[in-house]
Amino acid sequence: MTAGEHKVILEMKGICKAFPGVQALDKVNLDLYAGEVHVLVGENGAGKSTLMKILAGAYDRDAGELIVDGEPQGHWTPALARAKGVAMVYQEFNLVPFRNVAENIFLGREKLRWGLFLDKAAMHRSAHEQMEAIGVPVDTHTPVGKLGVAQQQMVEIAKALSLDVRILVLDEPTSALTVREIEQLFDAIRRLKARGVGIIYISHRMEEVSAIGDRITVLRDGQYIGTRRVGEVTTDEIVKMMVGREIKDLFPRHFRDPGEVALRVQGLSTADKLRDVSLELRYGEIVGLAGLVGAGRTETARAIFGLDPHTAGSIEITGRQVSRIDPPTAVEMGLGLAPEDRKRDGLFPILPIKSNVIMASLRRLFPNGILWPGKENREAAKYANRLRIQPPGIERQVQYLSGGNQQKVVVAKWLAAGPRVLIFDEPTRGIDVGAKAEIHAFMDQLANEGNAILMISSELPEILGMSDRIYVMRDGTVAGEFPRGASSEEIIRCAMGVKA
Amino acid sequence: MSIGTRKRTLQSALVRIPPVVWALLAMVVFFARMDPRFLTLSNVANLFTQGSILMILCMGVVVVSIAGGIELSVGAVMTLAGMLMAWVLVNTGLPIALALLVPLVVGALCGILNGIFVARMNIPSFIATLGTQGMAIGLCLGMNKGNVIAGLPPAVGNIGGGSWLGVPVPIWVSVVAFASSFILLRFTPFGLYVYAIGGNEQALKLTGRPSWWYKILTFVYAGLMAGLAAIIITSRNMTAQPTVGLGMEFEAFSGTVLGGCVAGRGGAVETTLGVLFILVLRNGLNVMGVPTYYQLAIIGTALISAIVVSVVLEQRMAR
Repeated sequence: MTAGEHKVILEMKGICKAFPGVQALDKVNLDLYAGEVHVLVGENGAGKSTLMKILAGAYDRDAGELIVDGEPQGHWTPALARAKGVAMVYQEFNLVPFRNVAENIFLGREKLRWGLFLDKAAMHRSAHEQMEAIGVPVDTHTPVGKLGVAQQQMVEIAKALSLDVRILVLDEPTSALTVREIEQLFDAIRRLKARGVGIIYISHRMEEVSAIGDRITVLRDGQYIGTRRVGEVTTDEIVKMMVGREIKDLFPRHFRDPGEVALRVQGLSTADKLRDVSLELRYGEIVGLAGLVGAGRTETARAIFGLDPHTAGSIEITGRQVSRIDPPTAVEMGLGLAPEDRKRDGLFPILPIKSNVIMASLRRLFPNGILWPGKENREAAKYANRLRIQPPGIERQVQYLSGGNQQKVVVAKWLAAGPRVLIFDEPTRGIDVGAKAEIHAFMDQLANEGNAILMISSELPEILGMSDRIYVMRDGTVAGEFPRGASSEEIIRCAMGVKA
Repeated sequence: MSIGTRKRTLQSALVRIPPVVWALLAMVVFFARMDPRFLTLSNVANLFTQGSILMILCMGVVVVSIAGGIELSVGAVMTLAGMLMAWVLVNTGLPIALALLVPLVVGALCGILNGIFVARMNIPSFIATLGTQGMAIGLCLGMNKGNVIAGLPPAVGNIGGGSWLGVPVPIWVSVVAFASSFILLRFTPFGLYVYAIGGNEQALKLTGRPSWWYKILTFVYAGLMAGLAAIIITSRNMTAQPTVGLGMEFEAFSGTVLGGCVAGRGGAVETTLGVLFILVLRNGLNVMGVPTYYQLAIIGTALISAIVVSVVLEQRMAR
């Protein structure tokens, strides 16, 4: 490590921040050395984002000290934060999709000619240098909307770098990346470290903590729990610090004999991706759908739900054969889909929890077509309490909930809708361990209540721990079927197409 | 750039020719075959002179459209600016050069009003500009009890009725308006911010730029263009009519949409194509002798169909 290792560039001491009804941060501490990766972990809603928004100047702190390069700072604004070299790469990228890489990198700080006009040549030259510096040479004339997720993220990092950044915050940078892209990202991070940049790295993935982190700080419920050197702490200890309790059972499954066939898909093909997909799902079952990214799992879910048209094959739901299916028919026949991108596809962010919860059961709850507020509140509260959505209260807009609690709202919605065939696409992506165990418990409960669940997941432990049976997809078709108790090796081999 | 990429760029450029161009070509061919008078020099000159007002308005509205806003007040603002300009010219001894600043100031003030409503009070631009439209129409009708203001100094007529190098002044002014918007959008930081606001406003905010300020400026720019249009139309008619801009805001808005200028996309060139589409359609129907009442219905239908087609095409391409 470089000589600047012990130079503290940032100290946040006793930071407090309250929102109406919630103490989001309560005396939280964080410091950062030059050239280190400081991992920040905590369950959803622990206050990580709030703390980072204070660092970025987006929120004002109620109390506490913010010290940059040994200088205590007073009123802290986004402009000041930038001037002092603080930059953020958020989970949702802040890029302008129709503009090119160079324009995005220099947005707000354009290079000018004669003080008036854009110096496009200089911007492209410099943007190209920035992209090369992190090891990702892309054509800077490409509109960023045309780039893949990983490349867009690199553009965000290049943007931060061009700011002469010294404190870089990466918010769950790997959540949408493949293994190879993660390696590329880590490589870029190492280059930044060598330049003496201090990095605050927010992540849920324990394996990344040891791979890239130097120190780790844990927050829980807005409280500062502690800071440790990565080499001196075990994963179990970190999890315990995060959750404040031991997670006894991450996969609480009660296996029972499955019932009738709920969903039968035969020879399903689509124009671009799927070919000859066949699978079967029974009531009371959780069936795992495993496979590598791009194997066609989400596409299968979309085709079954009628979001994409299929070109061949048949779908049978609760014994009824359907030749053509669209989402209204699917829902009417008892299908439910909890999509991968829940914020975009699964929820109405600006509506309160209660409206989201009853959204799929309006016909059942209000057969006369009139929404009685009393009943609406009662029904919504019933499910919201059952799922322990935090913070409690059904009037809060869903956009203000953490990821884990948003997913609980999705689950509550289908719970309220009655017995169903449910498809969960990556139900616990980006969700912390505590909420994960809870979601798993509710999925188990849904299965016990007679629902049939098809669970798409990229996490093998989740597939193995939760599934009655497992289908493995490869290249747009079902490559294998495994009973409960299959080994992870068998599944990986099947997913990758490697013979045993 | 290698030869391979250049070839691909050419190919994709061909594919990316906006549908409005094909529609435009089809219309020109159709009208030319229906009536030989359509492609005569005098008709074309007439089309461009008549169309200069719409062109100038569109060159302002396009900036608002790209920034993701909807500007529905320019027609009424132009009328108000023209009325006030005429009033000042008739009732005060102000020199003509100074009186010509009046419509520009009126346009800018209306723009500031729109901008503050939209950018500072978060009122949807559709509603804010509709409100400004109503207010401006009311003032126009009220200030002379619904009557026109006539009796402008004859020298004023040299602006809208004059020509330079054989080309009518209104066409020169619309060329200047085009150049101004083109350069602004293509070559200045402000232009880039306009695209950024339409594409992802949050991204601009996070760079520390006051996006609200640029949003206000887009409306001020549209207002200034409305003021410019007011000078042309008033000096050409030599009277200020309180209903002269009726319906112009819809045509101006349509021009930008037809050119594909919505939320982060498009530009001055694309909008010019949209303007030409409207002008050619209107002019062609005139030449064919279609009654004015039906013309409105036909133009409305054509606009909606064209927008539907371009939306469908875009969805196809996105897939």
